[in-house]
Amino acid sequence: MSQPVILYPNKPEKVYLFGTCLVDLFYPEAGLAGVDLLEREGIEVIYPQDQTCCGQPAYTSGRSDEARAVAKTQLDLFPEDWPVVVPSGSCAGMMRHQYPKLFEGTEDADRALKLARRVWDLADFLVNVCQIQLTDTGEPTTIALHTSCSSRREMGVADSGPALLRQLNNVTLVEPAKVAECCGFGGSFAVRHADISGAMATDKVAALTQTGCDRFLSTDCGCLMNLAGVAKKQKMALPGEHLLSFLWHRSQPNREA
Amino acid sequence: MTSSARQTILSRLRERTSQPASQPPDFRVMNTRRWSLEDGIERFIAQQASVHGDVQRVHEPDLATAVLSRLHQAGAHRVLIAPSQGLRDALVTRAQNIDFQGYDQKVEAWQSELFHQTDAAITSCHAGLADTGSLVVIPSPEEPRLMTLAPPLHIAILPVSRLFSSWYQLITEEDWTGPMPTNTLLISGPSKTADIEQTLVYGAHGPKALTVFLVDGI
Amino acid sequence: MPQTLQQSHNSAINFQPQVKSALANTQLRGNFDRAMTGLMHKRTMAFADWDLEALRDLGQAIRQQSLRQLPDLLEQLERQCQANGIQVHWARDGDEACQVVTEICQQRQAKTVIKGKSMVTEEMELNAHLEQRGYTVLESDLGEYIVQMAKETPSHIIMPAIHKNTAEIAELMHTMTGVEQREDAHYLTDQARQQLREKFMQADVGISGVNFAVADSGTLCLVENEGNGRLTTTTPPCHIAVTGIEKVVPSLTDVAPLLSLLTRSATGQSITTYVNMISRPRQPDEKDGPEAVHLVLVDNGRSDIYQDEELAETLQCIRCGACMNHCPVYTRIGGHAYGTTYPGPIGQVLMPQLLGLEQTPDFASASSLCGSCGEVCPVRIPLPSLLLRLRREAVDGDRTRASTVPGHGSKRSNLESLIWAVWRLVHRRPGLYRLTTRLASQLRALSPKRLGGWTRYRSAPKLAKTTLHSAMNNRSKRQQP
Ligand code: SF4
Repeated sequence: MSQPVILYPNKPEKVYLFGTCLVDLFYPEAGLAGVDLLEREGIEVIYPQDQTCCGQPAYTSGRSDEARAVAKTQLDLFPEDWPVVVPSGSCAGMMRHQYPKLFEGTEDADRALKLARRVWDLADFLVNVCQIQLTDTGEPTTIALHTSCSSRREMGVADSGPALLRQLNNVTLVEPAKVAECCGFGGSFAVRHADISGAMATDKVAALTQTGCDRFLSTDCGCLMNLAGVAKKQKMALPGEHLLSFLWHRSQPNREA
Repeated sequence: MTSSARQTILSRLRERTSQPASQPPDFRVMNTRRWSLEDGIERFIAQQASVHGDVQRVHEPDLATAVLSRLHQAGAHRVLIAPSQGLRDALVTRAQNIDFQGYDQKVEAWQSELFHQTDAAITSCHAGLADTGSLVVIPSPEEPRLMTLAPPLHIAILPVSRLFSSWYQLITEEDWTGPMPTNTLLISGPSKTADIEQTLVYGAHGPKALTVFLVDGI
Repeated sequence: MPQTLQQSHNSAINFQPQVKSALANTQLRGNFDRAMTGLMHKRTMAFADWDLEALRDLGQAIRQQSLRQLPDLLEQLERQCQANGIQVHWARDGDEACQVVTEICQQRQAKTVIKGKSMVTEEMELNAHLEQRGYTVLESDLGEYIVQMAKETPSHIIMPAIHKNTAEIAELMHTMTGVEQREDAHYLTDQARQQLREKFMQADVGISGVNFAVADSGTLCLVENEGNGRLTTTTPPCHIAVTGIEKVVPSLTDVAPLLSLLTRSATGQSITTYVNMISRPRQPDEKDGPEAVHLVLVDNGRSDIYQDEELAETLQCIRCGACMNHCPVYTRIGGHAYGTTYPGPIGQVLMPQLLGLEQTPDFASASSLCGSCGEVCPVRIPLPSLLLRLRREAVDGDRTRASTVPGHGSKRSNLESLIWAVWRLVHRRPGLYRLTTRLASQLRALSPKRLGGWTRYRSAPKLAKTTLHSAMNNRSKRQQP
């Protein structure tokens, strides 16, 4: 069936943050920026300290039992009916769209489905639930955005990144060639099929470089790590940053230029 | 062997007891492809043009002249046309240097001539389809299958009154369920290929050119 | 397990080395990149004035409905065809189908066979089978003709010679047929036309595939641009149509929407030059067409796939090739690297089910699960979900469990199981997880600089100084002293 229209909730008092393990280990500043942005919107952010991983690495490796075991422990962490916001596209997709399948036919099916319906991509949440208004306090800069495949095709929120960046007056958003093509990350794919993944990532970095951007952004830590890693190895001046970190830094009113 | 194969396959298929849930087909989207007559004509011409088909709209009294001039333009000398085709007599009386003949013997008797020495064929059409710019052709004993395939130029006569919006409209209105003629064709433009590095080339194995006379007043 | 396939792939497909050499071939990568980019664009344009999602819903519903009634529709198709004078044959696997075709050729005392494009005959390796028995077999689709001349197999299910550029084809045709070596697609096409016209007239049997078999009228629908399909099915005195059993639909009404989806998805055409509907052999008063028409219904693993509700969606495929055109993996490695009849996403889903997971150990994992294939598939086959399903089958812990996927469980290794057990342990115990991650970030100076394939193309990622858990913990302490 066709993708159903997304029905967003009203702006809540509180949200849960599911940080994801990649943000936890590699990009905590992106998670913090997300918290800062939400708090500035007047939303209290609850961060359950017992969260670990959404289970995706095992799930995409065909290890459903292990994935379910780990995912099950996450089901307990969000008892109140607040939305659960996730700063990384593929983990949001895992929880929103794959949890119902993962738990289908188990005693947790109902819980998983209820949680799934409350899961949102954080950037999308800022646009469509908070209706955030950003004021640009930064110098003029040119930015390319890489939207992850999960955000684009699984979550259907590819418009939210550009919508946020267009609010920043000094930011020129440029689009790389083949903008919708995968960067080649794909979790274990990048290791099992390193050569194909490497070829895809190398092409994506070339496309991003060709835009002449000052930096590229992504909302997915997997993509970010992948592309920044290639750029660094090739000694290319293409810094990468999480969209949320960038948004927070650019939109602080008392920020010194 | 194949009777036991038949049994094995059918009973294996019937072993599946559970049937996956699915939606019943909703054909409404097919009915959105409708055009008024004038828009349909415009679309038909544009769609044919996009695949190198040439459409000339003529009034019935001018048809023979128009067809002749197309044949002259192509330098055709030997042209296939069914004896019962209404146009035939008008063409025969007016044409010079063109030999009109019927496809009146079994292909085996003259295959090489058919493939190598006929320059054009003029055929009727069952219908035209605006959506895709297609001709619906139903070969018959007088207008056999190879007539629209072997000669390098195919000229089709299509009355405006036989223009439908889409194949779906035609199929549903004429109720194409149950037995069908030996062969039925949708033809959209001359034959073509893009198998060499995506370069579009017309005249692959069939006709190199197709001209449709869209006739008012038949 | 189909015999022919087993014989030709009795060891696992050598995917990784094939991938390496494909990736290193810049010519090949350029050819695919250009072609696929163009095809994606054309598809988008072709659907611009359609409600594509509604049409895809319809396509999916028709294919699912057809499959639900599959055995009944096959019997109805058989009855109708027989009533029309078409002889119907059934074959359990590729070998049996080859034998059926051979027997018909024998009865007709045929010597030469001409073929229209047909993927199912590629699947059953019919050409090799017939050639071994002394028949001359000639492919007549231009792309197939080129591939046959080069002694290769198709690299794409719609555009068999897409891996070659004009220069390569000019050289090949010059060497093999003596035509001028001109890098001119028009010239080369015209030469092929002339060469093949003679062959059509001489052929004793024409063999074609089938795009849709219509049960209520006993009609075989063939979709093509070149006219070679029409010549193949009209000129020789005998026509043999070969099809997988899944291609049957209830009526022509169902063909119309599927056709709209097929040609636009495949090449961005609103329709092909020819849609050829064949319902009977030549009738006494007719002057051309084959006097005998045969239909061979080939199972070759399909009825097994049919047993599994989820995997049966594989059979919805109408072979448009859009999933490969949009696949970033296919685009980079091309069709030959897969080493199987069907490449790309549909190949990665279908071939492990036909050949077994042992023969195709890398197929399910060779995807970033980017979702492009599922997004474009005109009949909404959930290709990424099916790839995930096959990944689960591959590491299935219970090899005795009944599964329609041959070789399920064959990729399960003790080492990997151990790694996942540890992963599970750490991620199910929040305290342990926090401890481990905190330690890791404190010891980040020690983190490895080389991480297998990852660092072949990338620098190793650097752990952050502090974890988000710690940062959030500090933050809440600051806020609530
Ligand atoms: S799986 Fe879908 S997209 Fe791929 S060839 Fe089949 S019908 Fe086309």
